[in-house]
Parts: sequence; structure tokens; C-alpha cells
Amino acid sequence: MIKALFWLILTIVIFLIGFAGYRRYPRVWTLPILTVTAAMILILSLTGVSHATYMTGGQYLTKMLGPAITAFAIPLYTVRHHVRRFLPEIGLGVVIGTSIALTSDILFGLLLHLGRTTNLALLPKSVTLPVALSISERSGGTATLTATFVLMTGLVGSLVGPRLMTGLKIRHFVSRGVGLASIAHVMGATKSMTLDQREGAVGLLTMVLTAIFASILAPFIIRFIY
Amino acid sequence: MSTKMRALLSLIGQVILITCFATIGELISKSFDLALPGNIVGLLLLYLALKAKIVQVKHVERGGRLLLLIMPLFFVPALSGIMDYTAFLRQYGLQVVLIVIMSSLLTLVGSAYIVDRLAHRKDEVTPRD
Repeated sequence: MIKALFWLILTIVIFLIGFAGYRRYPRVWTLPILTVTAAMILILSLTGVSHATYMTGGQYLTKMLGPAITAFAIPLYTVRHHVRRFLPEIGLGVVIGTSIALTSDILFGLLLHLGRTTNLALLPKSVTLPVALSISERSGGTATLTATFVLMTGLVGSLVGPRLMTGLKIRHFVSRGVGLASIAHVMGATKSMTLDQREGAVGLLTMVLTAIFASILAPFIIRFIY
Repeated sequence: MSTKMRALLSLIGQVILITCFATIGELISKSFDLALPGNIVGLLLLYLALKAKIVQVKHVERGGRLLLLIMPLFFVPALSGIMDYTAFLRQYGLQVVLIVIMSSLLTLVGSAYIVDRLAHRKDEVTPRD
């Protein structure tokens, strides 16, 4: 109990340091999600504490992902006027994007001979993390691997995505918001928010719709393949 | 009670209110065995509550902003589990990175390109209000 509390508080303290560091020096490699995770892995390895022991305290932070996702209802509500007009386009984009993401993941996975559990963990990589975790758990994928793949995809998408779309002459705020969030989920939507408020609004809605549609579509694709 | 103290308490209250919505969503998702995860059910419930003016934006706004601001903190424990998978990464790391990049490119181009055509056409047919 004391141990769990210790790891919980230590993570929060290190996060506050990492957060302050990022504020001072905002770069991709100073993102708290990277620096704080690396610091925790380093501390655990040096002290010889297992990840399972760490999770006795860490699990409470993972549980807070639920309320954090629920909290997206608020920005979604306040910016709803920006997206109402383009609801059909956004919906279509989500259906296309999610279908491509899920099928290409599983096909590439089969092609490159990833094992079944890895493939299942990789499948929801473009879905926002708490939802991706529940998709992965329900189908028998590994939660930790899913978390890693989701973060990896989010980083790749939010870094390369905006430039790639500009290169492809994709300029409309609706298509940019849909494109970025349909690969980079919450990280893409957050990135869009910093670029343009309307694009961010589209991104938020895309993230939510992707989570809903992927939860429904993933079991069918898995049943079809395995 | 000082104003600072009151602001802090109201912030905590807002986070608790949002957590209640997430928890109710979780209960609904579990008891009806929904495909939708609880946190998304919670999101829909909170959205409806805002729309129906059962909850006012000012009653959850600051708490929500805090949760979203510190979200990376909530990712750290699950993510640091990668330390148990070094052997896996050595064996499959490259393949996985390849798949992530290829699949992301396909997804982005496929969805954004089509939506871009449609959105531009809509702007031409019915000019922005």
C-alpha cells in the first residue's frame, strides 16, 4: 500500500518536472510522454523493481484515462457549430479512414509474419488509447504493446501528417482535421487544435467517431481473419 | 476560505463530476455488454447533459481542461510496460515501425483526400454562411 502510493507520487512528481521542462523547451523529444516514460523505465531498471510492482500504484493513473476521454465532451460541445455543417463528410472520412487503417494493419501484419497476439495488439493503433486498450483486451492482444503502438502511431502521425497533407495540397480544415485525427487519434486532434481551432474541432469529432466505429468494426475483421 | 482555496476545491469538484460521468458510462457499458467502451459512453452522456443544460459548461470546463492538459501523465504507467518487451522489440521492432508508417500513410491519404474534394465542393455549391 505504502509502496503503491510511493510509485504513484513519484510518477506525478517526475511528470511535473518533465512538464515544466517541456514548457521551457518545447521540442518533440522533450514531450513529457517520452521523457517521463523514459525516466520511469530508467528508475525501475536501476532499482530492480518490476513493472508489475510499479503498476500497483501506476494503475490508478491508467484508470484516469477514462475521465480524460470523457472530458473531451466539453471542447466537443463548445466547438460544435464549426463541425455541424460538415457532419456527413466527417462521418464518411471516419468510415474510410478506419476501414483502411484496420484492414491494412492486419494485412501488413500477416504479410510480415507478426504473431497473432502482436497483430491483435497492433490493430487498434489509430484509436485513442483507452478505447484501443479495451479493443485489444477483448480480442486477446497485449495491452502494453497496444499502448506502445498507439503512441508510436500518434507521434508519427502528428509529426509527419501536417507536412504530408500540405504537400498533397490537402488544405480544407475539414479534411486536414479528419486526416490527422484518423491516424494520430488524440495526439492528432491536439496538434490540430494548436494549428487551427476549426481543424481541432473536426479532429476531436473524428477521434470520437473513430473510437466508436473501430470498436464496432474490429471484432468483425478479427473474426474474418482468425 | 480564501479565493485560491475555493478555486482549488471547485477544480477538484469538477474533476470528480467528470469522473462520475465516466464511471456511469463504465457501468452502462459493462451491464449492457456494449461494444462501446465506458469512457466513450461517458463522453456521450456528458455531451447530452451539456446539450440539455443539465450540466453547464462553466461547471466542468476547468476540470476538463486540467484532465486534458495532464493526459500524458495517465499514459506513462501503461507505456513504461514496454521495458518487459525488449526481446520482442529486437525481433519485431523494425516490422512494426514499417507497418505503422505504411498503414498511417494509406489511411491519411485515403481519408483526407476524399474528404478534401467533398468539402471544397460543398463550399462551392453552398458558400459559407
